[in-house]
Order: sequence, then structure tokens, then C-alpha cells
Amino acid sequence: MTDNSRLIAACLAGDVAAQEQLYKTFAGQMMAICYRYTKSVTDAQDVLQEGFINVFRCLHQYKGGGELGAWIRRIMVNAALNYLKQTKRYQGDMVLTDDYMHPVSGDDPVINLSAKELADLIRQLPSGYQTIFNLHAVEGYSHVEIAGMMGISESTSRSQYMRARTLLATWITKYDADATKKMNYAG
Amino acid sequence: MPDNQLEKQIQDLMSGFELQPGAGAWTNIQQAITQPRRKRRVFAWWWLSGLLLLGTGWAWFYYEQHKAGPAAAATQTTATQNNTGLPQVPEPASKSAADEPNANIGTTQDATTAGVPANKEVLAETAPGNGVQATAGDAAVMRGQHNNNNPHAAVVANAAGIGNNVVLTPAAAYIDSTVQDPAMYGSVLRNMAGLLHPETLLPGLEANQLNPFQPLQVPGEPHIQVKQPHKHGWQLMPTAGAGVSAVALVTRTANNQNSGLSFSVPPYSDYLNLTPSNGNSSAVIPGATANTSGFSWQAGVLLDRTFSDKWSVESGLLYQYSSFNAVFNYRVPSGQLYQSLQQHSKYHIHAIDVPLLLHWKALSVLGFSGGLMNGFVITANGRSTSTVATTTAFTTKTASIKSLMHTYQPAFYFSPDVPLRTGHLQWRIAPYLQYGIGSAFKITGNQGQRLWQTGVNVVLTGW
Repeated sequence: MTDNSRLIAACLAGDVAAQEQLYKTFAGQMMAICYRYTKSVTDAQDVLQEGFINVFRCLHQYKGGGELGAWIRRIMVNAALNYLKQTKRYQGDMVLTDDYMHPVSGDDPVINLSAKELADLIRQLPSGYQTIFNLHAVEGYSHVEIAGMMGISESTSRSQYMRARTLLATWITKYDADATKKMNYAG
Repeated sequence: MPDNQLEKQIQDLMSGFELQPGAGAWTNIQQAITQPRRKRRVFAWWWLSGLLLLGTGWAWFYYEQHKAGPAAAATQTTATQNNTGLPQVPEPASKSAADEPNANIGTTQDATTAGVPANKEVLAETAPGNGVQATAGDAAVMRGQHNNNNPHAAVVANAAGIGNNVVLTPAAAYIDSTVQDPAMYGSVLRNMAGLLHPETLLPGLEANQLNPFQPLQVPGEPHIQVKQPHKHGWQLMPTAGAGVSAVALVTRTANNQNSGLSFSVPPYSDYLNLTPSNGNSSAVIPGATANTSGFSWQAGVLLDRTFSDKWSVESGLLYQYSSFNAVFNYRVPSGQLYQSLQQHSKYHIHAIDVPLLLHWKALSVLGFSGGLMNGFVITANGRSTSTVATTTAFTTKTASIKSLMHTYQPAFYFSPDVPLRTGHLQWRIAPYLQYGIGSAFKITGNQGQRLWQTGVNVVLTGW
């Protein structure tokens, strides 16, 4: 029996210490995911709590076939999507319109940012863009899957993603240029 | 998986990204997972809604049936046996036995039934306040005469000899329909020949309710509709349904004093009303029976306008065909004797239904629909055969009824919707309750009637 199997068995038996251990093992990774999908730390923490509550309630459904972290991650992403859908202040921003039309750039910038800085840039995207970008670029969901998850068409998902990507690439380039400028001034 | 340069960089960066949540997060999670699940509360709400719906329906129905007079409670009588072995009609709850002079068995005043052959029916007249008793071998049916000064004239019959049925009818059943005396009560005892025990107490014979039939409630037919899932805006929904209904043996009195027998025609809550051959519908003897069986089908198209995941409206055009058979058995006074009448009827009805419904999804596991069902009867064809049996002769009459009608019959509609998943298919199960008002299918000029109707809609919403 692996460590994870033992941990899960203990959690299912109601062992609070095991449950806390499971939480502590994955809390950091999952908080980072929640942070990417939301606009504030408070919201991220709300999603994290809801996600972990679902994890513990559905733990008996985990078959052990895949990696436990990946299974928890899927639950966390679903919790984030539900939260965005249910939270009013995200609703207006979730409407996927063409307000943010930008020319699609073919050049991919080199990212010289920290993970936190990149996550902060992703969080600057409008909610609809942010969600689709996270789902496709980071989580690796296909546009067909995203369309099913968000109740939109595949083409919408594809076009919104490309716009989000262009916007983010522009910001990354600008962020990098600004940082270089600052360094030059400092030098 | 994206293999572009930018995506690759982002994934590499994000794979090691971690953030520590606040210290209180675990405490909150731990509290939540040790509490009962919210889902159970949703389930409880579903049951609570169902109970509320049933309770409201029952309360309304009860109110409708009893608002005619407070004397209804007095009709809950129980047949007992006295020490003579004869069935006895109990006193009404509103009066004590001391108030009632000579209302016991054995104070026969007028039971002039001698000489009547077995298997025949006679009337036994009672004096005010007194009961009447038939002697064995003589009477098959007796009737107590009502007197306004002392309305508690109970009627009791003894066994009428081998081969005879004894039917007792209370005085209250034959009073003038304009009399409003809450003390009057009705009860019927039937004592089968040769068996000295009270056999049946027919329920619901209430003061001021002279007709033996209540409008019957019939089940509606199940419908299957197809609705494209997750589609907002307009869409056409094909719908079809078919069903059967059967109702038997009604022995209650009706509220409408001016009608004879009435029963509903599925599924339009229509009514057929028969007037006994003597023209006096209020003279039908309580205890009459009716059996109906019907078949109907319906098909059409509904136009759905979905505004959001929660709200949608629906209207359309449905054609409906109904066919049903009805058999009546009833009796009416005819002089000192009774006529037994049996009537067979078969009807074909063509109608159009135009629903106007509003759907609201309250929770993920429960929604509600409500609105108006607008029924338009186009034609109704009927053929009826009646057999009249008296003490002397049997006669058979056959009559055809064909009428063109443009009857509009609105009905309020209410339905809780419950989603269900079977494999890849998603359904919405919607048991509905419908309350019809206004005019109805009229054969003999009955007044407007009201009727509850129930059934189930099954909507295919995903595949």
C-alpha cells in the first residue's frame, strides 16, 4: 500500500490528522490554481475551501488509478468554475464579448517573469479570457472540453483564447520592457 | 495539449507555483466536512414542497366541498345494530338522542308494504320524527318522507326476504332542494337479503346536496416532449402523449342541485350530465353508480422561449382526441315505485389545447411550471342507449347526440419539475396538477363545473 493509499484510507475512516495532512500536502499547489482563476486572495481562499470540502466528500470516489494530485486539481478547477458562475461580480466580466479585440500576434515573447508575476498578469485578463486561458494554456483542456464546461461553442472558446493569448503576450512584452528600462535607469 | 512556445513556458512556470492559504482555511474546511451535507437539506426541501402542494390541494378541495354548509360533519354516521338485530341509523352529531322523539326502530308509523311481490320496490312513508320498518318478504326499497318540523326521520329496514335487496334512503335525501336545514343528515344502509347486518354505509350524503354524483377526478395522460438542452432563445418542441382513464362507482351527492348525474370527460375536465326520465334530476336515489373508461391521445408542437437557465415560457398548439364509454345505474322515484335506469354511452371528442406556461428552475434539483391550459372543444359526438326497468316493463331507448361546440375551458396548471438522468439521456419529470374552471362540455345544460386533473409530463432534455 502506497503512502497516498494509506492517507486516503485514514481520511475515509474519519481520521482528522490524516485529513489535515492531506490538506497540507496539496494546499499550496491548489491555492495557486485558485489564485489564477480569481481576482482576489479572498475569493481564491473561498474556492480553495469549497474545493477541499468537495475533495473530502468525494474521496471515496477516487479509484487510485491516476495521480491523487491531478484528481484534486480537477476538483479544484471545477470548484473555481462553479464559484465564478455563482458569484455576481464575476458575471458581467464573464460575458464573452468582442470588447477586447486585439490583432493576433505570431511572435511568442520569452517570459522573464516569476510564476507569481505571471499569475498576476493572467489575473489581469477579463474573467472570460482568464478562465479560458487558464483552462487551455495551463490545465491543458481542449477547446471542445472547455466549450462543454462553460456552455459555449468550441469556436468561441478558440477565438477567446487567441485574444487572451495575444493580450497576455503583449503585456508580458511590455512588462519585460519596463523591467529592462528600470534596470537601465538603475544601472 | 498546447505545444506552443508561450504555452510551454507558462506551463513550466506554473507547475512549480505554490501559494500558502490563510491559517483559517483548514479550520473552515474541517468544520464543513463534519457537518451534515447541504444536499440533504435540498432533498428535504423537495419533500416539503411536495407536501405543501398536496396539502394546499387537499385544503382547497375540502373547502370547495364543504363551503355549501356546515352540516357536513353531521353526516359521518356509523351503522350499528340494536338488540333486535336490526340495523339502526345513528343520530346526527349536532343533536342529542333526547332531542329526538321516537326515532328508534320499531316505531313504525306507516309501512304499508304488504302484498308487494318479492324483488319489487315500495315506498314506506314515515311520520315526522319516526322511523319506519319493513317486514320480511315485503319491502325491497323504502323511503322516508321528510317533514320540516322534525327532520330526523330515520329509516331502517329489516331483511326483506330471500332474494330481495333492501335499500334505505334517508328523509334528507328527498327534501325540497330549497330547504336549508343543517340538521338534516343523510345516510344509507343497505341490508342484503337474508343477511341481518348493516352492510354498507354510503359516504358523503350531505345536507342540501341532493344529487348522488360528485364530479369525478380523472387522471391525465402522460406526455413526452423533446427540448434541446442549453439552448436559449426560441425553439420548437414536438410533444405527444396518450393515456387511459377509468373511474367507477360514485355514491356521493353533488353540490350542484340542478344537475343530475355528472362525470368528467378525460382529459378536458368536461362533463356529461344526465337527467332522469322523469325530468327531476334531484330525485335520483343516492347510491347510484357510474363507471367510465376512456382513452385519449394528444400531439402537437410547443414553442419555447428560454430567457435564461432559470426562466422560460411555452405556448403552442395541441390536437386532442378522446374516446370514452360510460355506464350508469341509477334509480328515480316513479309514483309509489321506482324506475331502475341503466344507460350506456360512448363519446368521441376532438379538441384543441393552447397552453400558456411559465417555467422557473428554482434549484438544480427542482423547478416549477405554472400557467393556463386553454381547451377548445371542437366537436363531440355521442351515442347513448338507455334501458328503463319498472315493475311492469322494460323499455330501451337509443339516442344519438352530435353537437358542434366551441367551448372554451381554461384550467390552471401547476407542476414541479425534477431532473433525472438515465445513461446518456437527461429527462425532466413533471407531475402536474390542473384545476379546470368555467364552462364544460354540456349535454343537458349543466352549469359550469370545476375539476382537478393530474398526470405527468416527461421531457427529454439531453441526449
